[in-house]
Formats: sequence, C-alpha cells, structure tokens
Amino acid sequence: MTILTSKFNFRGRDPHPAAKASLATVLKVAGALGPYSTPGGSGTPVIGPIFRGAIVCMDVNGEAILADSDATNVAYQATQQKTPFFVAVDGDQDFDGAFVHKVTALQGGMEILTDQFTVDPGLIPGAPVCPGGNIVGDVGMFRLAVPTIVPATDEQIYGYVGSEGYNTVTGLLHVIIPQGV
Amino acid sequence: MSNYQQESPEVTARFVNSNFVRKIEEGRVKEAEVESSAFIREKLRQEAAVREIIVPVGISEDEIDRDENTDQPKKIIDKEPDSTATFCQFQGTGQRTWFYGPRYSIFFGKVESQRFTKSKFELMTYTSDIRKILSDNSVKDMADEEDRAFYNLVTDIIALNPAVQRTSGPFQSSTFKGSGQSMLRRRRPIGKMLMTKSRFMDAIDLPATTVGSDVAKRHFDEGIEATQKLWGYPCVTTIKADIYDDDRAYMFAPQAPNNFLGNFYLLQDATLFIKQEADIIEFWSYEALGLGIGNALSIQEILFT
Repeated sequence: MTILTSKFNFRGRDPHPAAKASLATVLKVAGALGPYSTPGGSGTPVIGPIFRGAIVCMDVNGEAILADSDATNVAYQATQQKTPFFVAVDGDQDFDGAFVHKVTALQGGMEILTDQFTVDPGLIPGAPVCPGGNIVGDVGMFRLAVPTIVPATDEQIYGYVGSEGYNTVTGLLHVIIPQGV
Repeated sequence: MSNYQQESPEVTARFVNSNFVRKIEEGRVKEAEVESSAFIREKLRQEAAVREIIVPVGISEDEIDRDENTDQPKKIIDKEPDSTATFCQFQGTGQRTWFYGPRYSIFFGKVESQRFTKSKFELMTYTSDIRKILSDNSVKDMADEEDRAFYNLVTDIIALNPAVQRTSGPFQSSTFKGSGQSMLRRRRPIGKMLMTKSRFMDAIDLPATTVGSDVAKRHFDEGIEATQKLWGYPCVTTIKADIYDDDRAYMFAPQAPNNFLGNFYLLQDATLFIKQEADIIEFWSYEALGLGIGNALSIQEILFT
C-alpha cells in the first residue's frame, strides 16, 4: 500500500541514452562566472573550467570541480573514504553549459572514447586509470594509475583501459568505467 | 485574453481527470498534450516574474546562429555602435571613425520539470484536477528556474558596479527618485520595477501626507493588491522571496519600443509530454530558452535600509 504521508521517494534521472547503465546526475559548476562577473563583460555567457569528457567530483557544496588525484588521494588516505567521480558529458565550455552553469555527469557503468588523457605507454587494455592531478598538470583528465606518477599507495582507480586500448592513429583512449569502482 | 477554457462548475475535477486518462488510454496523447501545454504556458506566463520584465519571444530554426565548433544553437545580438557628433565651423568637418558594432550572444538551455510517473489506477483516485497538479508541481518549478537565472544575472551586473547602479535608502519617495535619477543620468529610460510582494506591502505605510489621502484610503480599504504602480512606475511583484531578495528592488529600462535591456528567446515554449506504457503514465514539461542582458547599465538596484 502506498502511504501518502511517507517522505520516501526516488531522486534521480533517466539514464543517458548512450550510457544507460550509468548513474546520471546534474551538478552545478563550482565558481562559475556569470556574463558580467568580471569587468568588460558583454553579456555573452562565459565558459567555465570543466571541459567535455572531464572527470569531475563534488566539492563540499555538492558542486562540480575537476577531479584532482593529488587532492583526492590525500583525502582518501586520511579518511579511507573514496570520492565519487563522474564524467562530465558536455562540460560547461559548450553553449548550454556556459549558460546554465550545470553539467550532466555520469558515474560508473559506461564505456567511453576520450581524447582527454595523458599519453603513457602503460595505457594498455586492462590497465587502471585515475584522474590526473595538479602536480603533473592534467587535472580532470584520465591517466595511468601508477604510484610513481602520484606518490600515493592508495590511489583511487576510476576505470580501466578498454579492449581497444590507446589508438595512436585517432588519438583516442578506450576506457571502461564499471559501476562501483 | 487566454485561450485556455476554464473549467465550469458543472464539470468536476474527477471528470476532467477521467477525460485526461481516457484520452491517453485511447491513444489521443497529442490532444491531451496540446490541451495541457496551453494551460501550462498560461500559468508560466503568470508565474515567472522575468517574463513580465523581458517578454519572451519565440525564435525559429532559421533565426538561430550556428557555430563551427558546436552543434548547439546561439543567437548573436547587435548592440548600437558608439558614435558622437560635433559642432564645427562651416569649413570644418565631423570626426571620421571606423565604426564597430559590438555584439553579444544568447545561449540556450533547457528547463525541465521532474518526470512524473504514476500508475493509471492510482491516478483514478485523484479528485483534484490533474492539470492543477501539473501547474503546481512543474510550472512553478520551471518558472522558479527562469527567475533564478534572471536574478543571478541581475545580481552579477549590480555586483560589478554597485557604486553607480545601487541606490540605498528607506522605502520612500526619495529613494525611488534617486534610483530613477541614476538611470536617467545614464540616459536610460525607466520601464518597470521589480520587487517581492512582501516588500511591496511597505507601500501601505506611505502616509497620506506624501501619497495623498485618496491613495492612503484605498490602501486602507482595499490593501495594495489593486495598486499596480509606485510613483507612476509599473511594479512587477513576486511572491518568491526565496529567490528575489526581500531587501532589494530593481528598476529596469523598457524593452519596447527600443530594446534598452536584453533578450529572452524561446526555442520552444513550455510543452507537456505524456507517455503511457501499459498501466504506467509518465508526464513532464520542458522548454528551451535563452536569456541575456545586453545593456548592463539599464538596471538600477534599490537596497532598502
């Protein structure tokens, strides 16, 4: 029986048509600038920091920021709590993202081809990948998850290089992001 | 005059609901969508304060501008080029200039209500008009999103130039006068004001010595619902004190006849979509709009102290 006084309900979105197994959410972009936030604004919306295909996570306000392994690894080692990562579908650099300052973000359960990664010979099928970081300067991008790049023993893996691996001709990396990594 | 047909007292909500469900059952989804979309658009027009400040204009496919880097639409708006004139002697000439017309772009986004899902069997138990549920739950939320975007835009503009575009003072004629004078000194005409209804109620306190005994008496007898203007300026009021700051009012330049303010385009006005699979009925509303202020100096904020 449906009890109408109960507050229980669903909170979620229909899956992205191209990634139906992935949890889809919409996140506000942290620190997004309005068209007149800085002097000289013409009224045209200003693009934000999150590029298409970027790995993002939430800040303490639940707003999207580029995922930075250097920061999340430190947090993870301190609390043993993993940070949920997402892939921003269009980012806020395209017209609609720059206007609404929100990004559609997908979590695990999808396969993607991306050009947003740091090239590494270790990116072979099955190799783990994680978000980049400030130290190397690839924040929000995919990169090979190896302790020598990020000096942390508990690096948070986000996905794996897919069967197609790194295609040197197209410059694209096949990534599988299972649910619950 | 709205085209929406009002429900007559003889037609019960249950009848409306059964009609709604029956149309979906009979595959007449389009008819149910059109009927309800008209209702939603009318409600949205009443609910979104921004639509009273900047009247939305429908824009068609052949009016949007393309971009080589994306398949998302935009609309480029021309602004007036800066120019001057000068007195000179009969043998003199005016200054030569190569004129450049500045522009700005309107980008578009989608506002979508929650996607309501319900079993048709549960829907049969509703004795209130389903269309009212739609308006209460989806239209207000959509209108709020429009207003939130507009308010963020306006506060950004004021924050950048508060020394010029903010007038502070109590709710009295001198403050509104000062605000209007600031606009006029920038050669901006005054169109409408916007404030919350709760702030607008301060007009009740305006004494007969300043507004005249007729106005004071009317406010005493009828309240301020009948009052549409303050000192001659049309006032748009909104109940959304959670979106628009109760301590602030805004003066805007008019949108017509010359657009001194900005643009509000609708790629698609609010539309209801209905889908049924077996006994599960889904419905939601969505619209695609673009909003921009091209003339940042055409807004003056009044901060009530």
